Amino acid sequence: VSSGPAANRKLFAQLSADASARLEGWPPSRRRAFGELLEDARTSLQREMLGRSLAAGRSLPELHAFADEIRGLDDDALYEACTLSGRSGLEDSVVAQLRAEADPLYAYAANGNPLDPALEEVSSPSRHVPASLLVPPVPLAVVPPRSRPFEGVSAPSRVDRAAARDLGASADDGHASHRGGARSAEELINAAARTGGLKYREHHTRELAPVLAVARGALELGIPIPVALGLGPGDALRYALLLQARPAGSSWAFQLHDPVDDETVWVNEGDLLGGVELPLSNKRLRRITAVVLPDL
Amino acid sequence: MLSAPFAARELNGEMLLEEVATLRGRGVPQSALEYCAASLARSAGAGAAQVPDTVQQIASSGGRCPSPLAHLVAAWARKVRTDDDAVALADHFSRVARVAALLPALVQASERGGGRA
Repeated sequence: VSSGPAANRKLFAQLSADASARLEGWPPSRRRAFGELLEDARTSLQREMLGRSLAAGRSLPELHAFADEIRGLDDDALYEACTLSGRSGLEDSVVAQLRAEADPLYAYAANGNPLDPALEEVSSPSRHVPASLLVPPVPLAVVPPRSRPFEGVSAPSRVDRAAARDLGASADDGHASHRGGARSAEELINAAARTGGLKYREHHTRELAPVLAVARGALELGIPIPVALGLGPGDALRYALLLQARPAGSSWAFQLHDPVDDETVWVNEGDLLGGVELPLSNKRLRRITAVVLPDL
Repeated sequence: MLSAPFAARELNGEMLLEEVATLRGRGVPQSALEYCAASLARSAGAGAAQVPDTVQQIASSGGRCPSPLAHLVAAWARKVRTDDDAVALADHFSRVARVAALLPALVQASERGGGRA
């Protein structure tokens, strides 16, 4: 960063490469403002936290508010405030812990220290991931990081769509196909599962009990089970994934993930067998209409 | 006996989905997920004591295990207390690899196979 005042340059020189790179993209007025925040910081740890937050993609208003909040804290209190605590409810999430290490402001807010809500509008920014946590992109996942990658329920659908396009591009090259060029769901699933050594077969059935029993056994072995969803028998409007099965009273509950709408629900086995409508927000996806079971 | 983090209901549910989305968003390839899952599976039977060595081996495997994945494995490995935890750790990363492989195929199947719900 070469265009700031001399005092700022000295402080900027202590920033990480990621923070410096981000700062380089800012106009001089913002760089100066950030330099003032560093200058006003009382300890090296405060400057470190500001630098990490900058590298994590935080906006200047957020950084300003954060700097104001932490300026009065000693290093012990600051460290505690920026380490995920039990109050956050996220202490068991490894992903949240990794993000907290990279973005102290995230941990600070998650611990119940919200910044000025007025900042929300200006702070929706891209959440850049520091290069220290990144690797060069590779073909299957050449997609940008999700803009809000760790908040709420997982939202892989955008990423999955991009990856699906990649998969489709290679899948159509010279392979047997259905529907005038497109592969069937079973073929797509088997192509994806091939490297894991699994082969799946789609079972369309009006009688769910026996296939669900097999599915449950596979899930207990750690094998996820694709299912087709639709209005009724013969429909395959959507393909989703059974992630796991767990005892629920005298029965079982299945966790179902729809990667298109990015929705995850628990469904009781009795409800599935009884024909109760699935608790998904898309009401056309009422039933499991087919189960894609592995050949074990 | 499983320690609390490995007994959590959402370990192989919401947490797993979050991890898959994060790893894929950071460019971790499927081959790395499978390498990591296979490494953990091979050593799972040796119990909790073997986990640090396995994690070290994964971390030092260079390009075979990119740093976001190595960090994730190391973070989980630090939670391993019992031999059952070591098995659950291997199971978790095996599921991560399988789910990561299947989700894009399911999206594509939905879009192509009349998935216009």
